[in-house]
Amino acid sequence: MKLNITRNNLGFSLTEIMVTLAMSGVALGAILTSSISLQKSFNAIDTYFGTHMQQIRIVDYLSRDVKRGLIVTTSADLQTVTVTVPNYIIQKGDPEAVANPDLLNTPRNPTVAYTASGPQVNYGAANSTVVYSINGQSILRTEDGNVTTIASSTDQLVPKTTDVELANTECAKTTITFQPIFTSGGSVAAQSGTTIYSTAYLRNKRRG
Amino acid sequence: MKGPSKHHFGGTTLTETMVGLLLLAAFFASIFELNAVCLRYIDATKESVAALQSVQDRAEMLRNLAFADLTNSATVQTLMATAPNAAPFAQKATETVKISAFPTPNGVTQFTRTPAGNVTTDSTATDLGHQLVKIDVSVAWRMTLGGRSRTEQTTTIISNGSKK
Repeated sequence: MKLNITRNNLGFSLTEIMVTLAMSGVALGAILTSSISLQKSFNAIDTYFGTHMQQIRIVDYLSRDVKRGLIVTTSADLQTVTVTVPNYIIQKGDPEAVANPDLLNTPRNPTVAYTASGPQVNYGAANSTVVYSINGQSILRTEDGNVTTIASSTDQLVPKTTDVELANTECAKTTITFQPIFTSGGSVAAQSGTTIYSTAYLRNKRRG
Repeated sequence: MKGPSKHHFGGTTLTETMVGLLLLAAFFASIFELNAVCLRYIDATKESVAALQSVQDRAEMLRNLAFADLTNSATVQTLMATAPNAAPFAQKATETVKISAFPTPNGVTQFTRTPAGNVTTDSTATDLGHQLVKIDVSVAWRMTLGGRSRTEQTTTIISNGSKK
């Protein structure tokens, strides 16, 4: 009796395997490339939002100090800003605090002088000095020697402030840019496209 | 006797392959669309921040005016011809400024600045008083994300006097 031979043709030919490998390679390459591109894109977006918030924080800090300042000066490269601020709060060592320690850290009562051009508010001769500067990748705020890092970024965060003297007052115009890590076609995204503009007028500067 | 040969072909059919490819394409299309939405969110965020700075800068410009100028329609209209700042956002936003006496208004002086920079006086208040005025500054624009209408607004009180 002849045995019944079952022929299971389950194998692949060399051609089939080669074609399959080639197609799989292309698909895997596409998946890997896409994954890397998307990962880079999401990372860039995350960094962009993070730096964007730092821009807003710098604007907030600087505007607050400029608005309560008496004088604003900027360095030649526009990257260091010095604001002279009245001492609104009675601090340790001030004559008021020496005379009455209970007044320490309380608001100082200003004197108001009525002049021909309007009332003039005076908080005393002593002032505080606030300096905004760039130190490496950080933006620093230094008030009477006390340093606070208000922003830190690795993507070239650059604030530039111009103090504008007007006939009746003064204002500080600030632009803040950074270098986004997006790339397109090998070219790096433009830093100018990230600019935030801000203007703050000095409240304590006499107007006409 | 020779029995029937059994051929077991383990490959996938064209239909199965096409469905698989379709699912893969849909997956990648979703991922890339998600990425595109993220990029458009960046644009929308930039617009929102620019709008916020725009109304703040306009409020600062108005605050800097002498009170007599602030209550003078011609002066404010001339001032508004200049954009609040150099941001490109000003070229796509419509800006509205309303001035009224505070705390009791007697009419509203309203100005509108188009994206092209044309300023019109929509209404003039009967009396803005001599002590306090309320300033409403708003910008309206159509956002990049979804083309929806957006507005940003701020309100401030300005007093007559040389110190602010």
